[in-house]
Amino acid sequence: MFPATPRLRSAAARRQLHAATLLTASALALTACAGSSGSSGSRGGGGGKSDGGTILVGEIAGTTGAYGTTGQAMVNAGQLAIDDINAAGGVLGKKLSFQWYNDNASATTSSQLFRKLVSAGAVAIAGSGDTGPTTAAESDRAKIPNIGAVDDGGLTVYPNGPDKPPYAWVFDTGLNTFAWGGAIAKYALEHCKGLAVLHDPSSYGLGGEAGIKMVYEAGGKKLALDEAITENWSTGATVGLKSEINKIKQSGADCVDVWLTPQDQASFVQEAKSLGVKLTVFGNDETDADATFSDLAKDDADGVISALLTTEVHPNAKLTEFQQRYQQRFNVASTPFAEATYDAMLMLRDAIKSANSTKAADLQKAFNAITDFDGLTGRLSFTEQKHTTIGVEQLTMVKFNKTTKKWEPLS
Amino acid sequence: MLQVLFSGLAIGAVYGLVAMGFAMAFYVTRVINFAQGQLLMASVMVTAAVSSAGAPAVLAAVAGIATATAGGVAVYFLAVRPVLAFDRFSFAWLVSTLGVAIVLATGAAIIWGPTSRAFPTMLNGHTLHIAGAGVTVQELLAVVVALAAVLCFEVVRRRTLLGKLAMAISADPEMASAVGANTRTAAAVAFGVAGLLAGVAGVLIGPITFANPYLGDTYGIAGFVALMIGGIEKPAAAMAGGFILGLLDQGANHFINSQASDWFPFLIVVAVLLLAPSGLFSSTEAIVNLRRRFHSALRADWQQQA
Repeated sequence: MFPATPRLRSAAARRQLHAATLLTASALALTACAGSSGSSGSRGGGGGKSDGGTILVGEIAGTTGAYGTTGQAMVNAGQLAIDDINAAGGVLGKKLSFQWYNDNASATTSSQLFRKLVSAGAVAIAGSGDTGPTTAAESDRAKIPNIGAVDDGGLTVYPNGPDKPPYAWVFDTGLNTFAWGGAIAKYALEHCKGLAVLHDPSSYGLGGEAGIKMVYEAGGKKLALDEAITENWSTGATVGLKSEINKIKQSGADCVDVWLTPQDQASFVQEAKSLGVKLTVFGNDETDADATFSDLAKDDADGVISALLTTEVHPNAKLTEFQQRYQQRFNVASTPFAEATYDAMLMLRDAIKSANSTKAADLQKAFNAITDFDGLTGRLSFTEQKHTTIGVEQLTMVKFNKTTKKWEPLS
Repeated sequence: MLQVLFSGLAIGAVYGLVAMGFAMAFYVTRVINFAQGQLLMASVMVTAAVSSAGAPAVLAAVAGIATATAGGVAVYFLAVRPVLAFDRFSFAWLVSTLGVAIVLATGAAIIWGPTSRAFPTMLNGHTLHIAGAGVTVQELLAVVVALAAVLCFEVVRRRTLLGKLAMAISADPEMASAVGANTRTAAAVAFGVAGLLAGVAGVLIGPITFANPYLGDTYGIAGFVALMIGGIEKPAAAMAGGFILGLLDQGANHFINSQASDWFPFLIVVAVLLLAPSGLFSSTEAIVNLRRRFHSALRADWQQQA
């Protein structure tokens, strides 16, 4: 272990050093390799730039981290949409090319990737679900449309509040924290004596909190407890929710909206059960977006209430066909985030067609004029003041049933 | 208050086990293994994978702990020994152990996917209620295991030849080697035990955090902070640092606000590093120095008042 230095400056020692160097180099290579599965994603078969032959569309998504499944679903759907558009002949006589990158839930990485895509000539950039506040701000700076699931709408799109103008270049088709918060608050007004809210302090959690407060306080009630918890966005896990559960108990609330990662929501229901605290637990738009929460919480997920897009509860033939194709191609079930991203790409196609241009300013005007687009997530519209497509009226309250292992409509 | 105490001690035990692993490897080799948190993660991931394949939870936990232990030994032979053999006084181990950490986290993400997987509930489903506070049997087990680890370490250190050998190597490796001590084996054992501690910590915390390939960063950093608070020179001191960090974490969240655990423990670390740079419990000297500074400050205050 500690042989004297001079003696060990031998061939054997050098060989060992080379082995260690090799290990370090392989670490870097492995990281680059893992990143490339999410970051080097020139998968669209195009040359990259919006040159004479192709129109470049970019996407940034967190395919790793707490919301990794969501990011991967967005990338899958982006790819599927681009392939469908190209199979149908492309737009304005050109094929679309697609470049996507994994921001790994890092705002710094996201900002760099956004600028990289802009430099490459992307006409619009979809996402990011994880770093939406960054992509939204970057789109405002670069004056280029930022589409699809941009964080989860809400305060990310309306940074100064729901009654103030949205970011002019963000056109969000993703799940909207204002809508989910509003739907849950509406339900809580009718069914709860007191409502507590635990949320993360990011624009995602604050958007949910704002959505809840907007409706709950308009109903003449005040939250029994309103607490922000910093979460670990790499793993989704935050240790130490028992103390929070006791605070909720002391606040007198009989209902709580756990506006945290699916991992923390699962941990919360487990901890509440272990403490013997009976609460009606509400989730957020991520709770039922995929199986992360229900897989982790197992039987403790029983009875948890959230909202789901009505199109998911009662899918039409078009959505069912998409979900089957998605499942066949990616060997995983489609999610609302995938469907929202697919909608965004087709809306971009329509915007390019109606503007007869790929210039950013023309696309902005065309997006603002989209009315009643027949999408997988419903009939979608934008105006200059309305830059999110999903509202409370498009949601159905659902409850998890451990026997059927499904989210079932409450009414 | 009691809930803060229970939860703080439970999470502190996990931090302490990771910190003790850091200190254990450092004690014998003077190397900090920055892949210690990733060994915890490896234990969690393997336990979850074996369990999901249908094996009993106990068997899965044994597989997870064995993986972390073997991983510890492998880290020594692949990333530490080669660089020390070339130049014992270099800090190349810093880069090589960080490299291993990246390999482990990325490898786990490639094998099992980047998102969380279910972990067996183990004893987390059984709760004891004491004066209004709840503590799961898993949490109690964490505290018991942590204390047992300290006890075992001290018994081995003081009462066995292996312990005395480790002390001798720690004090003067060349001299120990000259008198026939097998320093290579001792170092490999130290890294293996460090891996074992990380593996046990993983199995204890897994039911709460679930299995995620990026857990290593979180617990590696927490363990390192605990190490700084307790002291790097003595593994038992590192464990004490873990308990303090756990209590600070939970106490800050309860008494300041629900986000105070993000910054309050680090404030304490800065204070500790300023007042007792070697950690609070690395030697009795640190405590004596603190007392001396406190008394002299009081005396100066009295003299001013007089």
